[in-house]
Amino acid sequence: MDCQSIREQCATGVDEDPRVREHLADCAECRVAVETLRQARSALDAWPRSEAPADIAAVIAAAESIGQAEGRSVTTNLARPASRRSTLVGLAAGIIAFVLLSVVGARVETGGGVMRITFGKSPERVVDQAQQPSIDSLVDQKVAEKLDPVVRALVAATERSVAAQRDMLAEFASAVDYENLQDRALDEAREQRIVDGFIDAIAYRGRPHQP
Amino acid sequence: MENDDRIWVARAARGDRSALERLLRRIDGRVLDLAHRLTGDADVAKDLRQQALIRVCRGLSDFEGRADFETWVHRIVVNLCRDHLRSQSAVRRRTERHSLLVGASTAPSTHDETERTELGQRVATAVGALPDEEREVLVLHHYQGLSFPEIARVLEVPETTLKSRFARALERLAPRLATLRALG
Repeated sequence: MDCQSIREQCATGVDEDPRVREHLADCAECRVAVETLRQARSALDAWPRSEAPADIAAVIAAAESIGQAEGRSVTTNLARPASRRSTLVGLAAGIIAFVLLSVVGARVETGGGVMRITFGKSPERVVDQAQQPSIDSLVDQKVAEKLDPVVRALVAATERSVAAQRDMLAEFASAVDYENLQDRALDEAREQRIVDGFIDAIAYRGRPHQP
Repeated sequence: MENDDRIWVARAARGDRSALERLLRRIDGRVLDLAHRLTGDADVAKDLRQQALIRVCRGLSDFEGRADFETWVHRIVVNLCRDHLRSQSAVRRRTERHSLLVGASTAPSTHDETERTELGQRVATAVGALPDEEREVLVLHHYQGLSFPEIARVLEVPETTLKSRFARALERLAPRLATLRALG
């Protein structure tokens, strides 16, 4: 054993080895060095120990406060929190399950503490689709909206024309004899029905779409 | 770890508040002393003691007895102190704190006590001037009473390395402490 290992053993308190004692008996330099180390070690005891008891209740309260901020009980109920690894595994499994369920068209419903997984379209979605307006009806509605002012103008013009025609017919009727008057009236009525029908047809076509 | 510790740790981990208080009271003094000697600052040591005890509270449920309870606690304190010391840029500043801590934390009332306190202050200054890795081993072995195998588990450093560090620390301290003894 060399001097350095002897001094190291003595410094760490392993000086009962017979080889160490033999070396120290023969090496004056090591005897001095080892004695110096022993004195240094005993001098360390002059540094007194720190004494200041902690407020344990405050420590526990602080730990509880941190735990509550993190959403888990920490001290009064030291429930085992989920480890980071298990949390990640759970999250990954959840994502995979969601993707798989989405691919097969499953629906996940929760309520009343129960989770249900069903496949296919929900009845509500079918009804909703039936109630939605078709493309044709949407086109009709748009056309009607565009034509509405035109139709209204046409109806007004037609009404004015009918009124003018009535006036003309009245003048004409007064100008002819009574025998023809009934025929004229019949013609007028027939003409009026034609005009009214035309007006009604245009008005109906121009009416805004009512879903 | 003593069987007694295992029982109290298990009870505390299940939410037994009285068991937790008992554990914290048992380690409180050693935690403060370790933090004090590693940082050389009494106020910082109290803050670190608080942080360490809180970490113990919060980590008990994960502890599971994989390591010795005291080894685990020591590791917590050492890591907190390392983090703190890393934030200190100058060794000189730390040495000055070591000089202040003994005088600030004690109130000598007799001549003998004054002499003892001054000597303690100088020892603290000398220990504070050691390299961090040597001071850790010195404090854990001499002041905390841990064996080298126990220190090896705390610091995760081979025993032979620790013994070398301890011997080097004593060799560094010897001239300064010899002077102190001569003065004393």
